Amino acid sequence: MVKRERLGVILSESRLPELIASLTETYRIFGPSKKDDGESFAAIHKSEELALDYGNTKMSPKGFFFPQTESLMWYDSADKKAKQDKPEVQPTLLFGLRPCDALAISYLDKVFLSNEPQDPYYRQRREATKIVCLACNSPSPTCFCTTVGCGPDSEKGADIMMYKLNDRYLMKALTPGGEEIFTNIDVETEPATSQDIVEKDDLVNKACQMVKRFVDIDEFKEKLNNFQGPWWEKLAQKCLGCGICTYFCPTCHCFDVTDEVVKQSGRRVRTWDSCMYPLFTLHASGHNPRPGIKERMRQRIMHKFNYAVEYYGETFCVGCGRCIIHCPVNIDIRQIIMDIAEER
Amino acid sequence: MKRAEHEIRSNVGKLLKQKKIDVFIGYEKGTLPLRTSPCFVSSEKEARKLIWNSFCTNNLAVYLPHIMSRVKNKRSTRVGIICKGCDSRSLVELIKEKQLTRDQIYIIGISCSGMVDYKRILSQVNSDEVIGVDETADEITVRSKEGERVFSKEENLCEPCRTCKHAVPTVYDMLIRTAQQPRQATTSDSTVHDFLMKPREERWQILEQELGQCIRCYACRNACPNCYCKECFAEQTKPRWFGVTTDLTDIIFYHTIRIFHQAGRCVDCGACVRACPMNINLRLFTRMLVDEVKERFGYEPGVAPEELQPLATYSAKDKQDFMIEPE
Amino acid sequence: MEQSDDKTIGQSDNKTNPFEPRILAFLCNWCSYAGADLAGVSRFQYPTTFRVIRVPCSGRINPLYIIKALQSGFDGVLVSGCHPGDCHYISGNYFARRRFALLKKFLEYLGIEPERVQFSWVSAAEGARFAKVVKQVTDDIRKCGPMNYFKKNRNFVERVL
Repeated sequence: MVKRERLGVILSESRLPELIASLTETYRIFGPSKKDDGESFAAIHKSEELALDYGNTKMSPKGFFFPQTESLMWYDSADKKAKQDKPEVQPTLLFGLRPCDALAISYLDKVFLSNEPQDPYYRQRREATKIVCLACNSPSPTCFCTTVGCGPDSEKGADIMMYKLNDRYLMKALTPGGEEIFTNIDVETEPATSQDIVEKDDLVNKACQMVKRFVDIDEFKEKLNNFQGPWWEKLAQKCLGCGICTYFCPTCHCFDVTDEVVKQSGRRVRTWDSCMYPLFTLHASGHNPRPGIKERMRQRIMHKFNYAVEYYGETFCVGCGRCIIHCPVNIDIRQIIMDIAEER
Repeated sequence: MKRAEHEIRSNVGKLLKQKKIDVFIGYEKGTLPLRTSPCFVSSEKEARKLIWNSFCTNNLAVYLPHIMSRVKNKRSTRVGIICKGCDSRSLVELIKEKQLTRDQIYIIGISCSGMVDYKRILSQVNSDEVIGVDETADEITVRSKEGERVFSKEENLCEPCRTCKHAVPTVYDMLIRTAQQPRQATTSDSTVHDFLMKPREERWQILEQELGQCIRCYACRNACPNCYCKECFAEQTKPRWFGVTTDLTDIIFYHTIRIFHQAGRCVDCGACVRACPMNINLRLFTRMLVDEVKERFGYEPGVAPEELQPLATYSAKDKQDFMIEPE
Repeated sequence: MEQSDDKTIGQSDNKTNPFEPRILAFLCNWCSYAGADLAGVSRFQYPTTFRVIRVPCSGRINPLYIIKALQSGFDGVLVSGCHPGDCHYISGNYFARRRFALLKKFLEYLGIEPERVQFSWVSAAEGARFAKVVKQVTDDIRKCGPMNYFKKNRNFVERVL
């Protein structure tokens, strides 16, 4: 059990294996792990499997709560009854998540849980999961979190916040869930001193300076009130219309529900969908209200920076930069923001 | 490289000024190191942002069917485009498939010395710390906070460029030569041969491993110049041919059919592979059809504009060794 | 293309006959379908492993249908049409032949047993030949065993990340 301290606790890096070993007794742990092409979340059993000095994972962690393919219910003609698929729920820990992804999860919570009816599948997974966030010391060049209201030390969505200070970790419980994790671990820590906090603030400041604030986001949002803005045509010109940006985005949450029949049984599945696909808005009549890439791209940008602000009071972009890295034609959302903001 | 870039800019500027073309599709500087981005230029002034280097990998022919289906006045609209060898082969196929006519496009061909795979280079340096990139005839120098690293182009070429036999465009209105010699591949591609050496079960296993990573973003389809169908079979709903899930069977269904749709049309430009965010080696499968079409029908897509596509024609003497003959 | 609840097909009813494949046959209206009809009328004996879909021409077969059949749970597919030169639409089977040549090689390359997808020519007068084709294809596919690795299945594991 780790005692509660006002300023948080300090864990020496050499005790990380102990920490993980202690946590695995209570939780299933997922954390960043090194793969051939960058880091991705994987089940962690030992601390060696963790790669905590990473930029960010390739895919966002949204799939933990909202998998790309999810069986909702199924039937079999043999027993003539439909059955609900229950997600497998175990106490889970997402360890070492980046602050932007934790913030994105807090946005997804708003989408799936803030209004009735809540999404039971999402809820069950989410309630069983706690998030241990690791602040960024060296953000990537594609990061732009500070522009969109996030930051290298953003605490929203995290149960425990971790800061890497040289060879030590400063850990702070932010929620009752975080306190609970602390009661479950048996590892030697010491209370943080104000000296440590100064060191932490210093690192955070440095990180903040590395993430350039490149544009006045409010001016951009103001411009978006003009739905018919002249800029869309030009911005969408080079877009290929694939779904990379939406599938890699940690906040994109659109889904499709289809029924599949396999002989005498069948199931209802939920899969990710993307507003960049023509099928997304295709009517049964054959009419498509968003017939071209221009309209679809506008929807993507508008949803993130305009509609979401209206519905949930948040900008649904956390500045993780995944869409920038993976776009096959190098469409850069920062460039889009700048182009629109500067349009006269 | 610099000279070619200058030539492109001045020629495009001239063409736009003389109103010989309405818009030009080329490359501009990307927002990330080692990247370029397609760009659409419609004034002489804008032509200054055009660039040319070894990272101009996108196959620009992909934009033409969409542009042509959108323009109101098909007769008088003329689109300029910069073409490497592979892009021009794609164009030839598009013309054969009547997606555009030759006089609707003005092709600035560029004799290509092979494109460099930026992912391969980024995997060897810390991509977060790259500051700048310089290019000479045979080398790429990556400057980062850790210092400079020099990469040989030859070793980091895109996979299809290694065995490219038509680096000089097969059609063009104007040809720009770079300081380097156009690439003349001496070795033939062994991808298919090597894969066939493996036992059947292992081949299926590799297929499952490769395609198992697919997230169904459809980037491979959308980056492919041949995939211009207004409604893709993957998106047909009456009937729905296969599920939208990430079950392996659905993913394999999608890829086998999409790749088979390229039979006799695939120019092996590698656009699908480069677009794939999960780095799936799609070329392992697409290349097989390229080789098989060559061997069986003696057809090479995009090379001869007057030749009919192999699946759009037939010969009474075609081999039928694959059909069953009951004893 | 879902199969009926037919117990005679694909069920292992006893131990002496452990596996009866389910095979889908696409038969062209003008030759092979009539050939199958003739085989029946002539009382030729052949395995009852087939379900037939009649199509106007072998040139009508989209490779998609073949993959779809395999995904739906068939263990094999047979496509049969008119002999070269006999096509009701003059050249449909010639075009089909080119397509099938590539498809067969391609599926084999991917790792599907080549016996699972077969092509043949059977004319309206060749009832006996049809029976032989069916028998041979059934034997071939029986040797391959059930095609489980590509079948759509309710229990596919969900992928978490």
